[in-house]
Amino acid sequence: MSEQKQANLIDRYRRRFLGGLTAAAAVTLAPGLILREVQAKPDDQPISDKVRWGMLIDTNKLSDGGDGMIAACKKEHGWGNDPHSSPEQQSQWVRKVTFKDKLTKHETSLPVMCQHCDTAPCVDVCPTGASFKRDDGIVLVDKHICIGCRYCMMACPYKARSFVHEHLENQKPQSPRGIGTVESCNMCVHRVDKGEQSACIEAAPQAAVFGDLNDPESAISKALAKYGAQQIRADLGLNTGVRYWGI
Amino acid sequence: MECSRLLNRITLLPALLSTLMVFLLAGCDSKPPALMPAVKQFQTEEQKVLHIADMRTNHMHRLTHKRDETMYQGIRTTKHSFNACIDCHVPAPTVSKVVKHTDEEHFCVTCHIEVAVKLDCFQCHADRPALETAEVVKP
Repeated sequence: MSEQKQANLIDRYRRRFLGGLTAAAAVTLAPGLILREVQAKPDDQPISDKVRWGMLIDTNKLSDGGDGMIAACKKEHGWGNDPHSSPEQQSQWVRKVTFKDKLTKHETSLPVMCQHCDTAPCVDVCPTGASFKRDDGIVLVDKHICIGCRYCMMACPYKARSFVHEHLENQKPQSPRGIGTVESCNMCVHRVDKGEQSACIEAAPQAAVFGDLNDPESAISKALAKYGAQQIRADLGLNTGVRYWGI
Repeated sequence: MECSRLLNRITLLPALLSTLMVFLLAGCDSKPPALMPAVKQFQTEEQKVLHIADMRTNHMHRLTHKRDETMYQGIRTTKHSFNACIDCHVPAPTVSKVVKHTDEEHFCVTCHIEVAVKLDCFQCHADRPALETAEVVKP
């Protein structure tokens, strides 16, 4: 998909969101909660393990099932349009997953990306240490030492990782991607370090919150404490950083 | 007879080696290739000279150090940042001209071709400034 098209998708998403919902209902996820609350760390300071970044996505408020979020991610990181890769080989940092309740026939769609597990299987199996978890809970691939063995892709229960099959050029400066390495959602780590939110969260402000799970005063922690939330495959006990409502 | 042959060999070896040395040293004498000028220039000549001297010998160490700091600790200052190098040293793409890492005139590539050292940074990293950054840097 061309960049123009992606931009259009986001715009369309925003228009629909602004037009379809009343302002009051749109900006608050739950009564009394404010959405923006990410604090910037000074540029020259290292990250700390006192913070754990997480996301909360309300699938009921995603009018497009997450398409806008996915388009924003593509635009930010430039994946999904590798010219020589087959559709199966294309990178998928975020996938739209749709499921249907057999009894009620109710369909739910949700964007599934790297869930930034606390005990991440991909980190566990990586033979070189390229797959690692930052102190603040963001799971990344250090592509400088990734050998492209794809063990992590096998280990991930969320199918969140992709392998780059071809020589790329004109990558985004903020998001290096290259042949022979594995990649996945990095929670827009370049934005988080600057005190901003992930691109997908910005594209769906009515349905998604980004914040510090370790800070009991953050909007996301308050929402989780008050209403709880689901993890995908909670039975695996991975303590994911991405949580959902309405699945 | 035996003795003179040995003597011959002993004198021949240093002679050969010294000739070789002369050739090797002649190689060191060559001038560095002309590089494309940076977009931004330093305020003073002194800053520029220091920057060039430091980067000629140490750019790889600076970049590796910064790389690990950024990757693992999230330190994203512009000093020694790879993107900051590119923003300043590679011209912004225009409609008529895009300087890529496959072109000999690309700042990094000119030298790396000269010294025959393979450069694989650009397999993943952007080899040119992003358009919006280019707008900001433009004087």
